[in-house]
Amino acid sequence: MKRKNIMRFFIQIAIYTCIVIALYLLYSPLNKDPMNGSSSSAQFVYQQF
Amino acid sequence: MAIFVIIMSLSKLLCKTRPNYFKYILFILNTIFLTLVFPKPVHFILFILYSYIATYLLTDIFKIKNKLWGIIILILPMLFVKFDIRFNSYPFILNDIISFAGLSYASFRIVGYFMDRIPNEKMANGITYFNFLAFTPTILIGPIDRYSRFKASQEEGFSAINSENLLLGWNSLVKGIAFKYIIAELISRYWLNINLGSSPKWIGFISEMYAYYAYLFFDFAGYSFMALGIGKMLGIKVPINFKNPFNSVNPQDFWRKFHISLGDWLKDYFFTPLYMFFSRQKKLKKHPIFRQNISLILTFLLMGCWNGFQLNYIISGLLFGIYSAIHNTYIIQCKKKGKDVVFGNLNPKIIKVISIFIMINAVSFSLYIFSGRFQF
Repeated sequence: MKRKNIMRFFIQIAIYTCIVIALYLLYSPLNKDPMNGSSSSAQFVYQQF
Repeated sequence: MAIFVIIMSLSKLLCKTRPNYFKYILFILNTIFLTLVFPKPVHFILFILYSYIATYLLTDIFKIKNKLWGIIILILPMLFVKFDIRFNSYPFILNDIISFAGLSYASFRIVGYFMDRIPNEKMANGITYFNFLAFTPTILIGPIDRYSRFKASQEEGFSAINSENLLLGWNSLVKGIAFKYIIAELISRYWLNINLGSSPKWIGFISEMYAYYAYLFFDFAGYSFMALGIGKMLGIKVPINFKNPFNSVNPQDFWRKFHISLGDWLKDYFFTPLYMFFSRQKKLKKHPIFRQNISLILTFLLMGCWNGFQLNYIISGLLFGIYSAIHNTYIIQCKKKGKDVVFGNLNPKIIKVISIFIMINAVSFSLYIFSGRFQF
């Protein structure tokens, strides 16, 4: 049980890290993709939340 | 929203001995959101007042027997907006006065309350009614909640704010963010809106069709999961609106997984009364399949029209109605003949795969028309 919980904890950490990296890559001003409408990732976060 | 969750959690600590304060704190938070963030707060508050007074007058004072008239009065603001009826000769444009974001969802909720209300039953508590219609996470894009369910959830009060629900809510919120801001965005940027260059036109059409279905699901389900998560963290259980629709085997199954609250609403407040109405018609008494199918088609047609009276919405709704009618006829024929009239003795696993394939294509096509990208 304890081992399972530790595994779950690390899996969740990995998922959250992936989500944060994906959000940054998609909406960062460094992403020069013409489809990227946001001018900064901080502004994007502010707008959404 | 994070501030709202913190305020609610702190309120739990401060108001331990006063569980009734929950609805008042929720009322304050909803009002703060309405006045500071919502684009047209006065319009929304006036609409809540209008619906509350109209429901009271219709059920308790005039005691109308035909609820259809009541529904028309309640959804009158939505009809004005959807039909784009304007009274430009007045010093103001009526449409601008009554339209606000989330009008359709609010209209669906008030009709649900009106239909469920028993005559002479005590009117809803004003604060609870306001919270029901103006609950921040669901105010704009649903799900279409029911008053009785919302009230029961609100009565749980501060006890619903606990570490387990906070964690569940957080997980749902993160799932929503991943769906809407990552998966839907990736589909939009790199699949739905790309130019396939010299590829044949039909390949572009099919690719766009699938892309739109996937995009719509992840975008809309993302919103719904975020609403569900924030709702849970604020102590209110928001009904689940999406499951996995991509493995649906028939239209009925699809509507149990895609925009569930709308499907349930239409079934309870439109399909069932309409079917009962047709059942009372002498001429239709001998045609039960026709009665069911025409009720199904009209229900989905209404769903299409709810989005707007443009041709793409109407045809899309009609198509969903036809799919349901075909499936309904198929089920009845199978029952009558005691065997599968289409697939015969084929392996059930193969039937399931074929059914999923048919449903994905049928739904994608209908939603593609819904999107307005299809040129008639």
